[in-house]
Amino acid sequence: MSTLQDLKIHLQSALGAQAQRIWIEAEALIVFVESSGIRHALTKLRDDPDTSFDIMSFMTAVDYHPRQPRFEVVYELYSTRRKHRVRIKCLLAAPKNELELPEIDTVSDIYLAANWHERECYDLMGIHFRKHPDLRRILLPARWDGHPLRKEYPFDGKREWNLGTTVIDGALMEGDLGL
Amino acid sequence: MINAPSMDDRRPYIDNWKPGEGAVWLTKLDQALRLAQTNSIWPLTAGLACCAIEMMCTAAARFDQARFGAEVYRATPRQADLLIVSGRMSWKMAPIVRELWEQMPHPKWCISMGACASCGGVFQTYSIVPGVDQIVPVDVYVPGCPPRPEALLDALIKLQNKIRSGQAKNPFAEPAGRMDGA
Ligand code: SF4
Repeated sequence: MSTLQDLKIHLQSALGAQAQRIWIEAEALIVFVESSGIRHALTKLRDDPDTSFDIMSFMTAVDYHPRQPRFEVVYELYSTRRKHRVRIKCLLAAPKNELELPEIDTVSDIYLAANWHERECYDLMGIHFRKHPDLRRILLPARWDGHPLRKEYPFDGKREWNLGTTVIDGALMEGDLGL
Repeated sequence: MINAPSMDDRRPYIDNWKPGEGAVWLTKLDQALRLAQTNSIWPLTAGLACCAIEMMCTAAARFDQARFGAEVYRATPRQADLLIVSGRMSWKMAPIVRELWEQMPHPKWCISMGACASCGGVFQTYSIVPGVDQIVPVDVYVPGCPPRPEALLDALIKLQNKIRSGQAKNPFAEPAGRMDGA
């Protein structure tokens, strides 16, 4: 598996129909995977001795509002043995009901690194990871309302300022710092 | 009310004082107290962001905050009477800073150091408190990003003047920008 081209051909045969689109761009191999099959695909890429992607460098999410499907979840994998990378992407449609969050399965049991990354995704982008062991906010205060990296969120968060004051009063009254 | 003698009133006594003679100065108790408070400010060791580096520099040898009697940085709020909010404060940090402020014994004062602490600075975003006076009552604001140590010393002297003349914020003052009216 020397070149990116070889890796691409191998992934095509390994993932089969699961790889919806696969192409090379700016020296990166990008694969679109059906969101329902993400656990299966990542397990396969990790355990296949030819790919052996043993590390998840990071995972994140992108908001492409107003495009549909609106969200993209991105997983960047690396193999310490074979020294190659791949970028896996999943498209997620925003649910009709605005209060519901788009959903995808957790991969935190496949790659432990994904645990906190998924919490960050949930915190800032509002993506719900099914069966995540501990899906709480990780960066913002626990009582925060909304997901600030979404496009509809006000840039300077003015709406939240009042809330911030209530957060403080509430935290002081209850003797809990809202962490 | 009887006013304590001014420096001019005392001048003849001071000028004519000879070694070996006794001397008595009259003053009011709270004036004497304020004089003591002015010259022994103990700041809290609390840095929030890059401005804190400049605060440390102010305390170190080159700028030597000790010249103004304010070098004893205390590591616990229970022994401190000056909170220098040095740097940007996030909404997540705000309850913690407020808790530190509540733990400080009266009388206590607050300096808002830097553009970020005073108004949010360049961080016009959802996560940064746009001015720490929403959280704690501020006596002196210091502009700059970060303010030079001289600027912080200037703020300290301004605060000392306010304390000496009794113009510092009431220690029980509420933060300025509380929007819920509480
Ligand atoms: S005012 Fe400048 S130096 Fe101070 S905390 Fe803000 S960005 Fe940092």
